[in-house]
Amino acid sequence: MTVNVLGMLFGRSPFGPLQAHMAKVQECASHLRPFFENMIAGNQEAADAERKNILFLEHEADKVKNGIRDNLPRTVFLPVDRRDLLELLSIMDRIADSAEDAVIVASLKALPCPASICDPFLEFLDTVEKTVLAAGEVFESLDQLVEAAFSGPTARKVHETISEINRLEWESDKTQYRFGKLVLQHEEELGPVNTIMWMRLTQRVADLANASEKACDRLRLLLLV
Amino acid sequence: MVLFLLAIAVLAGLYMAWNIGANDVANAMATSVGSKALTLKQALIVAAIFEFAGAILAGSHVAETVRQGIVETDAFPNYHLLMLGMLGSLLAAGIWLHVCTLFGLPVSTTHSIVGAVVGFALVQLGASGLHWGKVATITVSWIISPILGALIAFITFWFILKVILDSRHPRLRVRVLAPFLIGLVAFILTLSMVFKGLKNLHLDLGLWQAILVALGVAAVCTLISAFGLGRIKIGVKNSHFGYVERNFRYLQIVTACYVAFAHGANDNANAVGPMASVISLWRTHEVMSKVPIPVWVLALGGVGIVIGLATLGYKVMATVGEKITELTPSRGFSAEFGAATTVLLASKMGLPISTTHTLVGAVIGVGLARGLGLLNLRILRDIVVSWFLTLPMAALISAGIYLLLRAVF
Repeated sequence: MTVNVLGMLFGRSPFGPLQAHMAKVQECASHLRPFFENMIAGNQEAADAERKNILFLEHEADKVKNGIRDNLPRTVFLPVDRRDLLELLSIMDRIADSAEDAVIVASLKALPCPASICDPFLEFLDTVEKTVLAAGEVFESLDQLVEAAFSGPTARKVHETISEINRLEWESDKTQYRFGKLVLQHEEELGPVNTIMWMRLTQRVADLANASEKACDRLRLLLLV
Repeated sequence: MVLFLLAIAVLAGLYMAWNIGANDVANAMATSVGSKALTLKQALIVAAIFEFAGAILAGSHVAETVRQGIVETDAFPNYHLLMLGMLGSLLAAGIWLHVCTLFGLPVSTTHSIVGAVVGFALVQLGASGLHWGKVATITVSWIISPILGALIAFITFWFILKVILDSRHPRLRVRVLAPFLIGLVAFILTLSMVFKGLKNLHLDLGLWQAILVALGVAAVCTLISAFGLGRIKIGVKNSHFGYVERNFRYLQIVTACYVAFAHGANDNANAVGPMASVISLWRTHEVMSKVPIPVWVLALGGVGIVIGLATLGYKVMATVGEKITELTPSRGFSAEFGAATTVLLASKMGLPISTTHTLVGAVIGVGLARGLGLLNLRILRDIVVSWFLTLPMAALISAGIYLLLRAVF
């Protein structure tokens, strides 16, 4: 007969869905390599299929993101600051957005892929992927962080891992710089439009690493160490 | 005629007790069901035994307060009128609870009954017929109890966090500390039963004797649980705090008993207080305020609660339990310990408080220590609204029913 007070007090924790969102983002980014490999090899159909996968997964990640936002009205009480959490979510989402932007730039027109550019590009993609994957691993320990109330040895361990990600992102920055210079060396061979497209693509791919690092830095703000 | 009124009063009291068993107990036990420390069936058994025990062994102080601590019972011109008033207040509290439920307001059974008792006394005796000091103390306790529950739960979880979860060897720490936490609960429970407990059960020891007995019981419980908990296997590939949480699952069984006991001690009075008045008036035919409530009357309320549990309570318990599955045992333990300690303290002081509101406070206390994923604080506004509405509204309804009953009988 009386009102179910405890049931109304307890809400669904956003941290499980936050992990689910990161998993979607990771899945989305994991399709970049097959996309580019097929594009470089000239397998247009397979590349198109991968592009569609990426666009679909980006949309899926958006849905998870909106679900989390809808579940966080102003009256909720969280173990971390609500605004920090929403900001973190939006940066995580930027990883998937960047993957989407990259495949869109790469498929607006057929890009010429000379081996002298493509092999270094895949190496550059490697360093970016490493950063993205490392960020994904950090978010796998989010449930433990919640259990440890964002403090103690668990938090210190995450803190250390994030420092490692800062280093990985720095590596990817250096590779991006080298690759950009390489593209411009091929300016005449590629032509002005293709050069600009390759430069844009480079920036979009690099954005994945940047967003991954930023997401981890935001997470670091939530820790009590 | 008197017998007829007596029958109605007992029925109304039993209805109130049934209602407490069917609904309020669910809130008290849901934290254990939600964290899967207890299955529904186990929760039902624990609740039945400990609600009943709490009602009889520690419930007399609050029942006395509701029966005669609020109203100047001696001032009633004859026992008949007091009987009508107590009967009316039971009916009024029931009606107010129904109305609030229709509007989704989280109103307290305890607050309703206190408001109702105030209501009929005002009509018959005017402002001088009430022990205003007591009423004020009770009202203040309604605000303090959730805050105290929050404070104890916060400190408890903070302690668990700093000493066990945040240590380098959480498993070792929990193995050493868990039996002592069980001992602590056993100490408080025993103390509450034997210190100024029931005279006719010879459970009314002095403070030092009581502490001695409680320490003995606590030591035995600590030893037994040290052996019992030692048998939990340390899994290798469990989640980080798997072993710690499995220990707390057993600890939470203890606090579940503690909560049920405290709840029975405090909330049984809502049904038994007014009913006991009517029964003693019927037996003695005069207004006597100094006779303690007989154990069988306390037991009658306990039986009502258990019947409520068995008929509807387990369903409500399952519903609430499902909604709070994200509560882990270490959090559940902290919240239950904070709430039960507060409620039991209030019971020993003869203060009728809201168990549910105290539990809400305790849960928020754990949340303040960063222990919970998400809490919807909108419910707080509704609770505060219910505080301000209940006393005047229940009093008004009770006054109306009293005037009606007085005109008819």
